[in-house]
Order: sequence, then structure tokens, then C-alpha cells
Amino acid sequence: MHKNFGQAAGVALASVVGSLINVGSNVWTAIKADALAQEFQKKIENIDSAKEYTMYIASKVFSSGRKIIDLGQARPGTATFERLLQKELSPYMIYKGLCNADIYFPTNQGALGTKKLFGSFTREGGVSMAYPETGPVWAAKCKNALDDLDVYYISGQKDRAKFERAEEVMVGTGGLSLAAKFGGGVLILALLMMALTTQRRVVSKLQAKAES
Amino acid sequence: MADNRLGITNESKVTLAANTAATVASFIPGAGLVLGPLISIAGGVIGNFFKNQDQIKKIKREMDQQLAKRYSQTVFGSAIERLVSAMEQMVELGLKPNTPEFEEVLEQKLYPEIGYKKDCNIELWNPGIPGRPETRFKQAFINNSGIVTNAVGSFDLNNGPLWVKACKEIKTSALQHWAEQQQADILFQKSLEQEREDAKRKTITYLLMVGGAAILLSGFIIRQKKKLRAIKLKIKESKNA
Repeated sequence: MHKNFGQAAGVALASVVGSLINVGSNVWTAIKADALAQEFQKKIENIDSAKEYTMYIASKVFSSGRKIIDLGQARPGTATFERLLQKELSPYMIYKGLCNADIYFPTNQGALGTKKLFGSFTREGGVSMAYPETGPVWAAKCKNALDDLDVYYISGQKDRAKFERAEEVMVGTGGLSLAAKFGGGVLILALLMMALTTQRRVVSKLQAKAES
Repeated sequence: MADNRLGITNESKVTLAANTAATVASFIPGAGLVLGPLISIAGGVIGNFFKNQDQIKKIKREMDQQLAKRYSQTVFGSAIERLVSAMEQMVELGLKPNTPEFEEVLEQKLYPEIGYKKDCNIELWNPGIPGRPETRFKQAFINNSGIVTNAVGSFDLNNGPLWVKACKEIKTSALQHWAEQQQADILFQKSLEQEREDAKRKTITYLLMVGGAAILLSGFIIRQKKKLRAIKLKIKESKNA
């Protein structure tokens, strides 16, 4: 009986220990799951921030390109344009042309070599170092920017052509009007002079007649 | 790892083994009464451990799937964005939307980029591994009725109707923009014509006014000259008298 009681106590103890271990394991799992959820949420926020930054950098492609077009330096899609764009974008990235680029993290102006690489992006939407979601975002925004620059250039050309056409018409009609006004003015002036001369002669003859 | 095809988890394997061992051990004379329960308790603890491990793995798997889905949706959203700018460019080049020529040029431009085919069909490209264009693959095919086929990975089938709706709306907007441009061009030509006609009318009006003044002045000059002649005649007559 004593032996059996010892055995029962041992089994009971083992059972309690087992339960405690299970509870500990479950608590650890819950903590781990919570930590994973928080880590995931943080990761999502980081991905969204990275995407925002990528969109911001892509907007620089359009603004830099527009500056080149406004200065009349090159047409979008040409080798000269790509070269100039590369130079304009150098504070933000190493632009390799056709939306392939190595983009920097935002940094303060510092000494050479302080720029840190955010990611390497390809035209097809591939990316290394940065989050994968930023790849398609960059590709779409950059290519859209190049298309928009082409639209900007073409519409500028069309506006210029319209202005030249309007100027042509205005100059043409203005010239005709000016010639007519000049001719009419000269004619009226001549007739007025003749009228005044004739009137003076009439007046002087009348005076001569009165004296005689 | 759980064998999901048969629904057998590590936990259930351990529990089964422990219970079997416990049952067998309980028949061992003397120690059986202690050994059996101990083995069963140990089995429970180990089984619970594996169950928790599987739960963590499941959470991680779900997170990876969610990330993959987000990526897939980003690729899809980017394809729609490309459509907008590309169509604007075509319109600016003077192409009328919803014409065979427009579709041909749009396909030439967008098929290498996003997999666009004529009339809102698309074989959506996934970028693949950067620096290795051969790893690009087609994520899904969506036809112009919104039906998704050959979808790979976590591509949402609900994107089919979304794509068609977006594509048609973008085309309608592009057509409207094209029509507005045409109208603006026509109005500009009309305004130039109007300007030319107005200038011509003003010149004619001015010339008529000048003509009228010239006639009046000429009439005055002729009259005064006649008067002068008459005065000269009278002076001559009075001198002769």
C-alpha cells in the first residue's frame, strides 16, 4: 500500500509537471504568435513606406524630364534626353536609362560615399535589395513618367504650331489693315491740304475784290 | 511537419505512439502502473509542443501567402496604371481609340511590358528575378469578358472583371479626350477664320469711310475752285469796266 501510494504520488506529480509544461508551451506559442503578428504588421508598414518612397522618386523622373524639355535641350526618347535625365537624377539615383536604376535612400547632403543604396530596379519590374512590391511600382510609375514626358513634349509642339499659325494670320491681316490705314491717311491728308490751299486762295481773292 | 493530405499531424502521431506505449507498459508487472501514465503524460507534452510548432508554421505560411497576394495585386494594379498613360500617349499622337490601328499600336507598345493584347485581353507578366529576363512568367490570362485562365500562384480570380471594367473605362476616357482635342482643333481653325474675316471687314469699313471722306473733300475742293474762278472773272470784269 505504501508502495502504491508512492507510485500514485509520483504519477500525480508527473501529471502536474506535464500540465505546467503544456501551459508554458501554450503561453510561449501565444507570445510568439503575437510577436509574429506585430512583426508582420511592421513589415507591411515598411513595405508601404518603401512603396511611397519609390513613387516619390519616380515623380522626380517626370519633373526632371520636364525641366529638360522646357529648356529645349532634347526630345524624350532620344539618347541625348536619356543622358541629360541621368545627370538630372543623379542626386536621387544612378539612372541607367529606360527605367533601369539604382535608387538611393533619402540622405542629407553629405560627403561622397555617404549615399546608401535603397534598391536596384529594372524596367520589367524586378528589384533587388528593396521589397519586391516596390519593383512593379517603380516600373509602372517610371514608364508612365516617360510617356507623360512625351505627351508634354508633343502638346508643347502642337501649341507652338498653333501660336505660329495664329501669328501668321494676325501678321497677314494686320499688314493689310496697316497698308489700308496708311494709304487712306495719306489720301485724306492730301485732300485736306488741297482743300485748305483752295480755301486760302478764295479768301485772298475775296479780300482783293473787296479792296478793289 | 504535418502530412496535410491525410490530416495526420505530428501531435497525433506522438499521442498515438505514447498511448500505445502506455497501454503496453501498463501490462509490465510492477512498474507498469507507473510507467504507463508517465509515458502518456510525456506523450501529451511532446504532442502539445509539436501542435504549437505547427501553429507557428501555419501563421508564418499565412503571412507569406498574404505577402505573395499583395505582390500579385501590385503587379495587377501597375498593369492598369500603364494602360492609362499609354493610351494618353496614343491619343496625343493623333490615334483614335477603339480603332484597329489604335489597338495594333497599343499592343506593340504594351505587350512586352505588361502582356496587353488587343481589345482588353491580357497575358499578365510577372517580373521574375531582376537581371534575369528569362525568369519572367505569365501570371494569368484575362480575356475581354473578364474570365481568368492559367492563373499562377496567388492571383485573385476576382481581378478578371476588375480588369475588363478598368480597361473599358480607360478607353472611354481616352476616346473622350481624343474627341475634345479634335473639337479644340476645329474651334481653333474656326477662330482663325473668324479673325481673318473680322480683319477683312474692318479694313473694308475703314476704306469705305476714307472713300466717303475723300468724296466730301473732293466735292468741297471742286466747289471752292469754281468759286475761285468766278471771283477771278468778276475781278477781271471790274478791272475792264
